Amino acid sequence: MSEQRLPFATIAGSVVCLLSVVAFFALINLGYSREIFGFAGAVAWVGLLFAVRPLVEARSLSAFWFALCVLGFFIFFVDQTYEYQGRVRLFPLLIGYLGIILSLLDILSLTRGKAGEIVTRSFGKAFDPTNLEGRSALREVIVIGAMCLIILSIYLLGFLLSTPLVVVAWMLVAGRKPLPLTLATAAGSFVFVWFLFEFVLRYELYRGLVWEIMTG
Amino acid sequence: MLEAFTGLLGPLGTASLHFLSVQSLTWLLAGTCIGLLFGAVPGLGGTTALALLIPLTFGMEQSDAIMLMGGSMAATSTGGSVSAILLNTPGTAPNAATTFDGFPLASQGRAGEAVGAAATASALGGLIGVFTLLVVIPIAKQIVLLFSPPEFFLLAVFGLVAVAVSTGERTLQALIAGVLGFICAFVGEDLITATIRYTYDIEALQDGIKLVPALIGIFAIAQMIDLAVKGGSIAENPAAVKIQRVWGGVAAVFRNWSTMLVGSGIGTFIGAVPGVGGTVAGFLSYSTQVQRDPKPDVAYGKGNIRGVIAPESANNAKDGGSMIPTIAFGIPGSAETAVFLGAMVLHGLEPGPTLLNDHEDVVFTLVLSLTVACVLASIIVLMLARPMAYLTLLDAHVLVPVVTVVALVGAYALENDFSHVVIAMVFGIVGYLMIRFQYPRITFTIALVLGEITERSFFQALGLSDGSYGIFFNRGVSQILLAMIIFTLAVPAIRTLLKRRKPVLGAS
Repeated sequence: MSEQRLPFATIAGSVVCLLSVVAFFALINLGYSREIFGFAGAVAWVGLLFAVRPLVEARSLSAFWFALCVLGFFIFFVDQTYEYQGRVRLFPLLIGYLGIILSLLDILSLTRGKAGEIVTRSFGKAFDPTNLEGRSALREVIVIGAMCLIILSIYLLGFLLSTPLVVVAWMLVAGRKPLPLTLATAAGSFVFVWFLFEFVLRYELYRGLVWEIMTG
Repeated sequence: MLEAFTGLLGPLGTASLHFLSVQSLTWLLAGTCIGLLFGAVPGLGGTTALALLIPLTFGMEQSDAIMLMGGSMAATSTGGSVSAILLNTPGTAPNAATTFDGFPLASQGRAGEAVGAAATASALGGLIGVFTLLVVIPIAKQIVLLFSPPEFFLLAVFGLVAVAVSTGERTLQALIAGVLGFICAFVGEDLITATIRYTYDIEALQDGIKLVPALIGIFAIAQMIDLAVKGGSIAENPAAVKIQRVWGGVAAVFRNWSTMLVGSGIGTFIGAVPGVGGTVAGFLSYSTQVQRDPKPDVAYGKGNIRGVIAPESANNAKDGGSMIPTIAFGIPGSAETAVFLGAMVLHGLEPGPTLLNDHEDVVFTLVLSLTVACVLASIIVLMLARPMAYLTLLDAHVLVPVVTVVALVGAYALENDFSHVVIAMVFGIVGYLMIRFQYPRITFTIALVLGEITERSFFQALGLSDGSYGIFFNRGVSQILLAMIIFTLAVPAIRTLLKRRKPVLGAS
């Protein structure tokens, strides 16, 4: 097997990443503020991005971005944890650093080459891109957007009004269901929510901002 | 040992008295019906059912809440067998092995027989699992006394690692999910010094991330987002919804009693091992049955009734087994038991020695509800298998808005706080991303539930040793647990090595 040369971005990114990691720990030990060593952590993260990105296969790219975000979150968490002292931060720091190590291994497992293969083999199965089949990014954005609209609707109109409204909107717009079935399902949902939560369990469900404004 | 059993009669009597009230039985029936419904509809599952049920249990007595949730838990896999047999679509993952012979039987017009056998095997398997739990409780009480903070800390780590290793072979991602769960558990007031951590002045986070909205989000909402993204109808094969000769199936279980017994034994054992779960129990029981029966009258996979009895008895017996580590050590063995554990904690029941010694009546209420629910679920399935099969044909576009709104109402109902609705949605989106990128949600949930106990045990252990970490390494039980953690972590690598060696050996 012929040896492949590493891309320039990988070499440069690795150097930046390593230097930033050293700076990160040095700054912590020298007692610098969280913002300063946090910056070193962020630079290390960017360095890693440039170092690893060329080594990831196209089909695993979305998993790579997600893994990178998770790593970024762990770095942010560790940086935040240094705000606390002594016992308060001891266990969270252990967990945070463990998260960073695991995340680095996760990212390594997505790269092609010997190292990635060894990590994947040591920890079970590789990422399976076929799981993403049938999930279009646009559809995902629309669904998550619709979910956020449900929250907005509940915030403005409350649960009792939003329940039939959400059911009607979803079934008619997304499902293109017949109107009688849609109305029946909406009415059934409304009765279920009202009967179970307000009548049987005696909860007072949120009435919504509009109702609060109207009733002063 | 006899003394221990005699001592148990008191709490058992209290539990039985409470159990026999009309109110409690109503909750049990409701839980069983909900469990059957959520089990029968593929894509929902028992964990979603439990997450949605938690808000309904606020204000209930502890034992009523346990009966509602225990009933639901025991009935889920029985419900799942109906869609596995009639539609070739397992309602829950543990029912997957039932499709191998269940659907061929249904295609041959023997659906009634298969449903009858599945329901009966489920009931008997469930009973055997619960009986084992009953026998093990007094022994578990003695074992738990050997554990002190360092052991509880290591046990929590072991539980998490065991679940991570056994969850679909994505060990690394499962461990990362566990770390994320711990981080969420850190939010709010620190137990040791009462310092407020990671709240960023958000009032809703001052008391920490509440379990109910988080669980509703991570399971119910995430599942609905997934269903909405994939779209379409849940089950697409409405063929063979004919139910006849149900009693033939019931009799078949008693004729093949050894199949049922072996399946139940496997299910109970597998259930007691954290993380292995019902799916493994079902498949292992099925493959064991195939090996035990080298010359079957009807080939397996072509409609052999024993191919239905074996997995169904196993996946119901696992419920009793999985309760052993959950109530004795507070280590949930599956996503369902993790949510159940969360509900127990919410009701002020902390698993472990306190629960076993001070709340024995609650433990027996759970045992009784699991016992009655698995029989009740089977009776309902025998009577209502056909209408239940049509439930699985529900379109995702009908299911998603209804379940989402009900789930959000449940999240709100915890403390009449709108911020919990937002938290549920945030966790729903996180849960969906975890499904999409194959990060198992179960370790996240376990860490979220166990985070507080784990951190407390960690500091209690350090307190005992004046800050020396040696306490985690130099005690007998700790050393055994450490060895188990290391071995468990090595399992994926060993498995890969063995897989690589097999073709080489074959070639030589």
